Amino acid sequence: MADSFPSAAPPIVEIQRLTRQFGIKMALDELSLVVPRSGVFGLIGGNGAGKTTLIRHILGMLKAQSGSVKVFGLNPVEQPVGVLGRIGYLSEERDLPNWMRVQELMSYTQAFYPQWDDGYAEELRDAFDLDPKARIKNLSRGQRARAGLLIALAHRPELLVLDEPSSGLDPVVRRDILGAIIRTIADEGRTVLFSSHLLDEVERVADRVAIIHHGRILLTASMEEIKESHRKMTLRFSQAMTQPPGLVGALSCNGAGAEWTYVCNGEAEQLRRAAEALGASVVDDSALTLDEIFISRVKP
Amino acid sequence: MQIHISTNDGVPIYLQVVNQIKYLVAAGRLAAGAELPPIRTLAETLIVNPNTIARAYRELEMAGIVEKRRTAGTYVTDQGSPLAKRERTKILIERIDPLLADARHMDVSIDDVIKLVHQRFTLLKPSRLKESNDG
Amino acid sequence: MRSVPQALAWEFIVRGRWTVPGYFVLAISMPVLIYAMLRSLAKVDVNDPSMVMVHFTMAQYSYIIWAIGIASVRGPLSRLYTAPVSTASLVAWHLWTECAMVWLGCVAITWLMNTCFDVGWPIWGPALFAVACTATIRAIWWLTDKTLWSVVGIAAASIVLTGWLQSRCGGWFTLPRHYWTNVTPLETATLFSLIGISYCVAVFSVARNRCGERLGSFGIGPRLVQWFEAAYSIFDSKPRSFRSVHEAQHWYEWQQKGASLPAMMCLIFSMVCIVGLLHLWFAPESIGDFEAWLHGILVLGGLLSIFGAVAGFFMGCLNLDTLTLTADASTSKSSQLLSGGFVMGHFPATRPITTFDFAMAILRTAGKSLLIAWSMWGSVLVAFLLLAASQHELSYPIIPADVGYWFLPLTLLGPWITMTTVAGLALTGRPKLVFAICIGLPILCSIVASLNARIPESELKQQVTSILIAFVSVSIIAVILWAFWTAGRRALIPAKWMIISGIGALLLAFLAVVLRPTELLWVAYPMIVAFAALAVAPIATAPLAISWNRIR
Repeated sequence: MADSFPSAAPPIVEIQRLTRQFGIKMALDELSLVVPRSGVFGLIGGNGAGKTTLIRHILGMLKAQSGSVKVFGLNPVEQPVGVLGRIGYLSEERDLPNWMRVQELMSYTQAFYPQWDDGYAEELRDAFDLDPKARIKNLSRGQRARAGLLIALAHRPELLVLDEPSSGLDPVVRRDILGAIIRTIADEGRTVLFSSHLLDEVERVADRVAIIHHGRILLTASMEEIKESHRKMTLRFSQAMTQPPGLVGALSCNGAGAEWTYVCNGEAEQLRRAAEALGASVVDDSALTLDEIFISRVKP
Repeated sequence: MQIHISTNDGVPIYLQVVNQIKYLVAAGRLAAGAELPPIRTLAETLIVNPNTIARAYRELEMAGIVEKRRTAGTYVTDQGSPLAKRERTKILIERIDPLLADARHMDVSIDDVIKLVHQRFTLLKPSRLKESNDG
Repeated sequence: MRSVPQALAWEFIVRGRWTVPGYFVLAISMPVLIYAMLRSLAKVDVNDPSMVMVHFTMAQYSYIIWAIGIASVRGPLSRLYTAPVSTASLVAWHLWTECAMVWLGCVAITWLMNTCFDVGWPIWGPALFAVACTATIRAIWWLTDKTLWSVVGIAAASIVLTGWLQSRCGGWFTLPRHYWTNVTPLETATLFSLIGISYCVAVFSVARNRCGERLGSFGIGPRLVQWFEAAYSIFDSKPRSFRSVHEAQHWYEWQQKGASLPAMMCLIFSMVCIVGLLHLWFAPESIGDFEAWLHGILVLGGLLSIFGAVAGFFMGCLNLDTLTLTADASTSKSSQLLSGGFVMGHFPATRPITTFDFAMAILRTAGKSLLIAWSMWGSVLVAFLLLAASQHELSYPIIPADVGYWFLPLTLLGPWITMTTVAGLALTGRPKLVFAICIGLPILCSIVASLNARIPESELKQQVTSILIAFVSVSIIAVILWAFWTAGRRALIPAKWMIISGIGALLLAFLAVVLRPTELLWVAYPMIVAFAALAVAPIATAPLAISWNRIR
């Protein structure tokens, strides 16, 4: 959907050659990433891949050791109010102040955002079935996530950042969160950046995807480009082999005997020709799920 | 409108929407002139990116299955057109192919299959054809 | 690891490799400081009743700190409830190792004090007593697990145990008069049977706790909670809306931490009242005269500075409920216990608020809390003076001459400085740094104090001391100037506030010099300026600390 990312609009987030080290562990390694305006950007990666570290840089909680981070064209470390005021954020830990009541959390948060929409906040509270008098500490995990989502959404942020929004939640709450993502970008010009390792969710809602692994971006492209450029091909060779022969553009391969399944990256026609050159026939050629693409990328 | 999205088989989501709406139209469950839900509503019910739904609607429009009217709604077009007939044939072929493959696998001759189809047809005649929506 | 005790021992050593020595230093540093100071002032006669009193309080203080340290490193027993081990052996391993550890620590502390300062503290009786206390408190803790009874039970046990110890040194309700050197067989038998009973109670209670059975509260507990909630909701029932970010943040800070210092004062006053009533009931002759009570109240004013330092930890804690949550969590290492509360979490860090507003909300809360606590102390002082005047017991001057009226403003300024300094340290969110300072400072002070005690008085020594003090004062001033300069350069504080704090510090120093009571030594002037600078320092140090915590 090239038309949904007009190149003229300045990107929301622009990260260049960002490096971050914690002790001897390289959390981010010369990472560059551009999140364009409007649409849903999915950040996928395994545990410890650097997703949260990256998001903390975007929120100005970590200072760039080298490289640069620009959000709305501003440096989030130098202008925390200018950047954070336009962001809605739901953290993975959902570390809301436990002692507050829901009503207090709402009015407390309201003070920080001039664009806070009271009507919308009430509407969300109603939809999420949150008791205004309930204390945060007495809420269930799901309700706590909803309360966090409420205060992230009610000021209609330009950029909604969700860090692992669905981890450990039941399907009903996950549906609420994904619904909120969809409603947010249905309004023109708004952007959602979310990290997840639940790839079926990402496949459903993301326009663009970046795969992050060991602090580097392995791949960033629109969802369609990714789906179209990856194929799963099963080749049948004339005789059984112990080692699969190399195929141009193959990311991973497994199988046994005469039949081997390759996950490939490239034009379908080109791949077929390459397979025929190896003296094999293509017995199956199918599309891949994001899950399979991810696994073949990070674990070749 | 019953659409089921699955992310398990690698089929792009917009294609799943297109195919299922085509199926619903061909099966007569979406009549000519019926309004499709707005993009945003459908996106929210299916939990799918609105851009994906928009693309599916565009593809359907190009295939002549639906049309955009000036009131900003999307409506199913008249199904008399040859294009729609071709679509219907295509959907049927997509369903017949696996049936034939299974038949070959189980050593059932093509005549027996045709006989079986006739048998089922007479059996199901009085009641409405029950759909088997196995995607 | 072949056996469960081995695994537990390994866990204890790994978890406590820093904290256990830390607690030991913390436990011993207070008596070391006090004895070093006393020895530098005069020759110490260990048989003087006041020295018996010092032993009585200091030994108890050290043992309690040490026992708390051991218990906190051990972590809760509940984490082992799912292990395939019988309750009796579970309790045995936990309790006996804890008792052994406490005993070893207490003996070591006493032995060190005796060798370093020749204080003649008795070793075996108090150490055995400490073990018995540990076992008893543990048993009550497990018996009343997670109910309000634990407060009642532990308070009652503490009073009875302290009284018993007091009776070994004199009488149940008299001040201690002599050391408890001869441990009679009866006393030993009493303590050992206490330990035995505690073990049985502990096994019984842990068996109950293991299957989630609690001590019944006859409906009092839930009703109390309800009552508190209702009382609390009087204050917060109306939905409020905040006019500004600063106001919202101030509300946030005040709700969490505002009560800390006044609550401490309330606790002290109620404890004094309870002890006073007990004395009045059982031993009216030991109640003391008006003058003694006045001195006590004045000392309490001085102690405000120490309470301020403790409250400073709360003020500098960014997320109090994380602090308690991680204290509950059994899996976290003890070094992480504190970091949970002091490292800025996602929620506060992502509020669109400037670091300066954040700091000011905390400082305003600290100031308000201090003012309330100070007025409580002040009104007690005034009420007492009025009472004394009505009884014609008042002697003049009211404030003893060797203290002077200087004391009154200092009771306000002192806690402010200790509180904001500690809060500033805590706000950095670097638990390791804070831990190092908390341990290093007492060690440094102890070394200086013992050195000071050993060098004989002379002209040269006085001069060296003066130069040292002046040097420290100038360094403090330099650090504070650096803090203001850095904060200004990084645009962390507005220029207006730089000017205000500059004028404030100068005014404070000027007032102190103008109103000085007597001729001062030259070294007092840099001290006054350093003091004035410390009073305004938090305006720069708090934003710097928060910024360091927020952006890592």
